[in-house]
Amino acid sequence: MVSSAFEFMFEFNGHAIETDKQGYLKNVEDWQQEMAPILAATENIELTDSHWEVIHFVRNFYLEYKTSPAIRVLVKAIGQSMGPDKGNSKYLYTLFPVGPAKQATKIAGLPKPAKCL
Amino acid sequence: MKKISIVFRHSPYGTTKTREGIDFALLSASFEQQVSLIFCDEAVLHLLPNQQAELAGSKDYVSVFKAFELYEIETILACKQSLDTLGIKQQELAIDVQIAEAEAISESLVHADEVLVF
Amino acid sequence: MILHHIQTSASHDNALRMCLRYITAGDSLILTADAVNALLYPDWLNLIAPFAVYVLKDEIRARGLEPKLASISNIQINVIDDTEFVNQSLRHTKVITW
Repeated sequence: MVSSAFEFMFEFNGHAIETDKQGYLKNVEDWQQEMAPILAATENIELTDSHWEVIHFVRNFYLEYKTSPAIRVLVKAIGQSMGPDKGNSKYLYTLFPVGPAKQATKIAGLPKPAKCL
Repeated sequence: MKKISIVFRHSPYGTTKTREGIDFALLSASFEQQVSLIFCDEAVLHLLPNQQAELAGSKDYVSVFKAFELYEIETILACKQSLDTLGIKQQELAIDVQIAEAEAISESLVHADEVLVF
Repeated sequence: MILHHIQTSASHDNALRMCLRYITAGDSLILTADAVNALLYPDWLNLIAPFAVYVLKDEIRARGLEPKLASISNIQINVIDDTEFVNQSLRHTKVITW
């Protein structure tokens, strides 16, 4: 049985996973890879290898710097590590049409970047 | 584009001032403002490596210092007098900063459009 | 020309000390709230003497410090009201609140 102790949550393998109102995980450590497709579906995104690459990137960014990157920083950081073909907003928007920083962090189980109010 | 100087003067973890200031700095930088950071007094202690903020009951807002370059925050000054008083040498610091005499800090305060102290 | 605004007691907080480290000739100081107590210490008075110093009248009256201020002779303290504080803020190129 899943408790409904949280105001916003979803069920995953029989556990209640707490989220905020907009569906971002409350606890970064609750995230597991298998959760990503479920979170992606709430954004109408079907994950491909290209998506996964960005999701792992933002997840690692967060683990290293303890903050979710806003779009400008994400573009620059991806550019530095994967080159200009991927480090540009056009490419990232193709993968995450509503907003790469906003959507990739959500799917990666991270807090929403500060700039996305 | 405004030149914003953000001065930090409080010790790590005793207050949330520096955390608020860092949030403000990153947000300002995301909005393409020209941000410079100035660490003085016991706030220079934020620049020491191997901190574990969580052990002091604080969110870790120091790890992001390594990402200042990605945020295009290029000017980071640390007050020489404060470092000297605390017996800290440049090679002990976790990130690249410019060690600044008081006059250099005064000058950067004069040239900023806005100065905020945290 | 910067107006440096100090709000905290120099006995509890380093705001005044740090401000004085970076202040430059031609800058001014305004002391509000507990910061006005600095005027009772000869050492602080000597350190702030080179600068134009403002205090808010109500802060001084609230603490019964008018007679103490009257006995300060080595430096001029400008006792102002809120309106004049605003005027001074506008007259300076910026305000730094320490």
